[in-house]
Amino acid sequence: MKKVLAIASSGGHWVQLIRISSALPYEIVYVCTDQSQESRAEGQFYRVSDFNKNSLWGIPSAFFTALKVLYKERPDVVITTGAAPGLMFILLSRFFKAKSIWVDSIANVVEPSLSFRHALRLADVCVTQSKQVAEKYNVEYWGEVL
Amino acid sequence: MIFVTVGTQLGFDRFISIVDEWAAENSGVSVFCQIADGSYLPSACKYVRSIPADEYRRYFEEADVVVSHAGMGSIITAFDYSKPLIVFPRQLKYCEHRNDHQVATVRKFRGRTGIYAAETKHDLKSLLNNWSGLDSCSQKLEVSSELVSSIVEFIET
Repeated sequence: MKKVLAIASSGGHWVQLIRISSALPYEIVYVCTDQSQESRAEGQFYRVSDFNKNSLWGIPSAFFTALKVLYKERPDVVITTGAAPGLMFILLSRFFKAKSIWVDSIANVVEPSLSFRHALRLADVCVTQSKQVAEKYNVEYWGEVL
Repeated sequence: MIFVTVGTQLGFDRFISIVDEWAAENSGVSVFCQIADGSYLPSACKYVRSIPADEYRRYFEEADVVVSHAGMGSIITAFDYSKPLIVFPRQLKYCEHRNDHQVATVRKFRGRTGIYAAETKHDLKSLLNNWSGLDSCSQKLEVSSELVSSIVEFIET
């Protein structure tokens, strides 16, 4: 069975990721910025440091966590709903021969996230959950988590 | 019990201060706030900064009404637990977020049964005044089968 690594920041990103991964017929390894979300993960769980463009302190730790987890788990695919920690895993997934997919948050109705714009250069595929964004930015729309 | 949440990432002082003001005017109503790293500390409500995942869902379960920033985590959880949800978006003009995506989110979900939106103090207090008469989010929302099958196709090819 293929192995999927599913990573998201806590909050809305994570809730959406859980909805998607629960519907997938694969072994799922979960990564989240909030340790307490382990109870919601039906599979191996890892915590990763959070960071964003206003707070970069978590980057070194997130980098090493991503390396460690990708090396240990060797997923076939990395899927993320954001935010920035998901980018770290997408970036490093290339070195572990894993395919990667970014699903932008359903909250980004009018504009894609900043991370999405970076993900366009890094992920194998990026999808938006907004038809408006799909048309405006010529990116894929595959449906929504709700 | 009215459960108030600002999400896991950022404080939301303007929102919490309005809720606190309303709670002081309605002392018979139990209001519990999750305020993250906000600077404003409620005086008329019990509050915590963060709640572990299992407890968070328990608060949703026990709440009569949930009042929340317009974050997708809160919106989706309100649908999962079929609770009335009042959403109050963070706004760029108050430097409450990096952009106005929460305002766009509110406009996307406004009108669905059980979702009530407020963007001003007046509107938020009006909704709170009617807290016991609000409808629940009764619609069951599933992940799009197209999204799932497209992801599976991507994984398999």
